[in-house]
Amino acid sequence: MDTERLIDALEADLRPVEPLPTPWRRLVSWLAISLPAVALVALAAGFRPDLADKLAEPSFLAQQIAMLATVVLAGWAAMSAVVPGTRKLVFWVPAIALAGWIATMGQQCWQDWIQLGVASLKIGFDLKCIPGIAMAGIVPIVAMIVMLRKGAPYNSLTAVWWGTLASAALANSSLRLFHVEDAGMMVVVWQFGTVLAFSVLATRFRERLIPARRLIQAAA
Amino acid sequence: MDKKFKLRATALIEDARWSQLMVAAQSGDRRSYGQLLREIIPVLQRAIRRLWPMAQSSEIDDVVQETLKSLHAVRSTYDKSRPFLPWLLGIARYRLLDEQRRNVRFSKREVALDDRDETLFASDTNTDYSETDADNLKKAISQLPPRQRTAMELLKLKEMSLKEASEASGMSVTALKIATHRAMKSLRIILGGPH
Repeated sequence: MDTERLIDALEADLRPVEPLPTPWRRLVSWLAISLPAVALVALAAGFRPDLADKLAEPSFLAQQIAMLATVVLAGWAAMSAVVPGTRKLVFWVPAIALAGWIATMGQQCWQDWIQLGVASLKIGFDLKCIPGIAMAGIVPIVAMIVMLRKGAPYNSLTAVWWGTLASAALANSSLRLFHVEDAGMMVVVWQFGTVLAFSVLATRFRERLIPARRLIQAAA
Repeated sequence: MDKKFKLRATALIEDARWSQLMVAAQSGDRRSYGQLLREIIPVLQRAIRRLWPMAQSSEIDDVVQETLKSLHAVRSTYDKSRPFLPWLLGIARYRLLDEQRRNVRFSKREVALDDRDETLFASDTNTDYSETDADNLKKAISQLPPRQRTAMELLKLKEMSLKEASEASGMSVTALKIATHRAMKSLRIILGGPH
């Protein structure tokens, strides 16, 4: 097709559009939907009996803060990834929070090692983490994907990876309020492992979650 | 230094003007939109040429057109508080990568031929040359039902991937696979091959 004819066609097809809000504003909207949803799941499941003591523990608190920082920064990076021309540096910022979260889990494992020795490495089955995170994460993930689909689908790998990680991390932070499991290795394997597994799985199917077709058809 | 400063200032003024045109386009102003699209073509051509120096002019034009289509599709993602050019070049970069990927896929299937005459002087040896297999195949494809023809043209003649063909035709990947399978069967019948 001749470029001039293409421009005429695009001009003729022009309809007013609502500009996409900034990534921060979309993040706030996502949190406004997701936070009550995960809080509701925690309420329905019933808070753990030792929650007040746990919140007074610096290591537990540090882990929750690092997790929530990951939620916010990964959510922001995901929202930014669907805006063309975003600086690549933005996509690395959540890695800092994620590293902080991993560090807090490492520190917990180290403390367990000092107290229990080899016994701290024992990994039992804690399959409740998987449905727990899935249940708490369903609303944040769906809301995230719906919001990401409103943007440009050109960087779907970054968008889906950070978007799902933010959602799963938020679900995990809620799980920790009702699920009594604090052994370092168990948290790493069953909780962090589930968060990573969900993120990897969603990223694998990113093209289905954020399809390009809808946009190309609109322009055709 | 002074020249550099002037160039920078001009670029900033241009960017601000394009940004205004884009905002007007978002609210449905067709005149501003047409003006913007026409003005950015040379900018896109230069940028793509710089990123892909080995490209032919037709390839650059393809990327420019794809960029314009994408810009149209994602025009809602432009934020007026941010500069226009990085947004535009962000779209162009993705379209360029797509074009380069398609190019690599295509070149992998090309076979270099020796520089030799393929026909002989005696006329009776060249009787089949007037109608090649490719011609026959194209004729046979043109006889297919529309969906099968579209699938064959996009996937086999234009060598698009299933995803690209799906985007171009609006058919789902599964529908394309089915249409291709049926088209192959039909072609075997039309060309008289084994069924």
